[in-house]
Amino acid sequence: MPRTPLTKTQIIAHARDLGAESVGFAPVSRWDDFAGVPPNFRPRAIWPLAKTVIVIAVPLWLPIVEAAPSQLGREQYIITNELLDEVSYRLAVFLNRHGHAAINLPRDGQGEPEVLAETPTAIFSHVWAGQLAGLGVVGRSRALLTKAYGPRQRLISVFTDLELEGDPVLTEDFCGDCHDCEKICPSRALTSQPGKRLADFNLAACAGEGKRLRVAFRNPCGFCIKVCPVGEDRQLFGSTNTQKYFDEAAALAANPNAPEYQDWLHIRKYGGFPLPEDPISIR
Amino acid sequence: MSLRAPTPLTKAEIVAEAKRLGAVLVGFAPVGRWAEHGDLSWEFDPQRLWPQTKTVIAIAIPSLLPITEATAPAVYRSQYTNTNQLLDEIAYRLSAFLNRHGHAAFNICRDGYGEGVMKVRPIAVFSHVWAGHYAGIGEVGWNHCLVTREFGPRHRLVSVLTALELEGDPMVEENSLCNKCQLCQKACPTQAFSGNRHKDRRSNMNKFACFSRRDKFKIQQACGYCLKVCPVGEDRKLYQSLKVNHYFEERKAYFAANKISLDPVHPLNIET
Repeated sequence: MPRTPLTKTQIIAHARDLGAESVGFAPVSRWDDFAGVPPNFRPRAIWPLAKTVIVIAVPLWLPIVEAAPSQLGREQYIITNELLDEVSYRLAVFLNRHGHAAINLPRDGQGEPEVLAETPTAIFSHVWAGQLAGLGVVGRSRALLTKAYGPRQRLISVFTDLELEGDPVLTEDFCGDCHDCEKICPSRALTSQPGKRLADFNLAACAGEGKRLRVAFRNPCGFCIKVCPVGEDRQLFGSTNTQKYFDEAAALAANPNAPEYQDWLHIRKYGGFPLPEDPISIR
Repeated sequence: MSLRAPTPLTKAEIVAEAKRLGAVLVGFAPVGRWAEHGDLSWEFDPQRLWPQTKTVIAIAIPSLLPITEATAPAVYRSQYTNTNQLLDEIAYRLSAFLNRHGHAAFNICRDGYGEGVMKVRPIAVFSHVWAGHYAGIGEVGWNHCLVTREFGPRHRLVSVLTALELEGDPMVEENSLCNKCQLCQKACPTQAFSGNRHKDRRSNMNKFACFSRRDKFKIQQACGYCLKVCPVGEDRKLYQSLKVNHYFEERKAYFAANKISLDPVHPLNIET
């Protein structure tokens, strides 16, 4: 197949037409000396032809994320997963059709939560790829934080042998020192160590909570992403008071019909099975 | 990636984007219509779900009549799954389109149940059927489905809630589409519908009876008799399937040929 030139603008336009919200480019050399990703998880180790990693993000809607755990949240997770897989697969086909070899990496490299317990590492980190492609910065909770949606988006990557200019890596660190993700985590999976920017992550604890919610069709948890004060979406959706999440348990204990929480309680009530700790408590 | 300040969007632009994404019918319901008409309790008002809601955008895509009327499990199931996935994608991407223009919006998934939950709590978080009714896509008929001029009840629905104020579409005049012929009630293999057409606006529906068929025939999850039998819909003409009596004759012929008494719970097409 002859190679037809393709510009970044054309690739972005096609990806957006397929459903991508934002698109970033990272030359594979950016992984070479990057300590965040071990050598055998870098693009060239996975696929030797890779020259550029194209990272794609689609957002999660705050009003659904903040009502978790709910079946509506689970469906949002499924919808975005399906969309990501479709966008990245079709973008790879688009590149191949123009003579540039490309493959899409799966958006979620694990099977069920049980697999996470045995093999707690995905084939490739889309989160670090997102940082290296200039979409955002990895925050304390180890999610990618973007200016637009904070940690409320899902990611996928396409590897291609087409050389493309990388997007500038963000230099501003907009993950502050609030530790709110760590404080709100119901499974205590995040633990900050003095002097370390990222929290230590206990994946088994996180997966355990996911499993508990999944039985009720109400996974994923997503407390660490709802609580994050970063993101212009907070303004857009009119939900800027993150203290509300911490006050919830006490407010509902005092008055189960507290009007400011009725929307979330409604969303949690339908579509999934009740959970023993409904409404959720903040520990 | 940075969110823009609100950019004006017209209804025509939103409809065009929805159709580009795969929507066939699109309607707009101002949120006040829920309280104004009072068909549902406050708990199922869109503002209960999200207090900032100003408009609900209802979207429908058709279920194709020849597949619906064949009541054949594999193709019926596949049509159901495909339309579900398409609906969710349309609604999610239309929400992204609105958010990108600075108008807060999110989609409510088309099917609000985990496996087995219907048996415990057969109520979804939000009624897309009533949203379609208030958005003027159709009217809620005797069988509790949204009866539309284009496809009768043979379509599937999804909704987007937005904080953007938009003019509502005119609602369908009462009983102008569903004239309560009650063929849906007669055809239902589980006798889920009951009521008096002279007194009631629509039937009483026994949801548990409706699901019982699904439980009984597990993998052969094809029913939709109340959909295929409905004489309303321009799709009947398109597919040259105007004789709804055909379905009832099939039933009699099936029972006669198999020398079994008329048991309404027995599915017509079960492989024996």
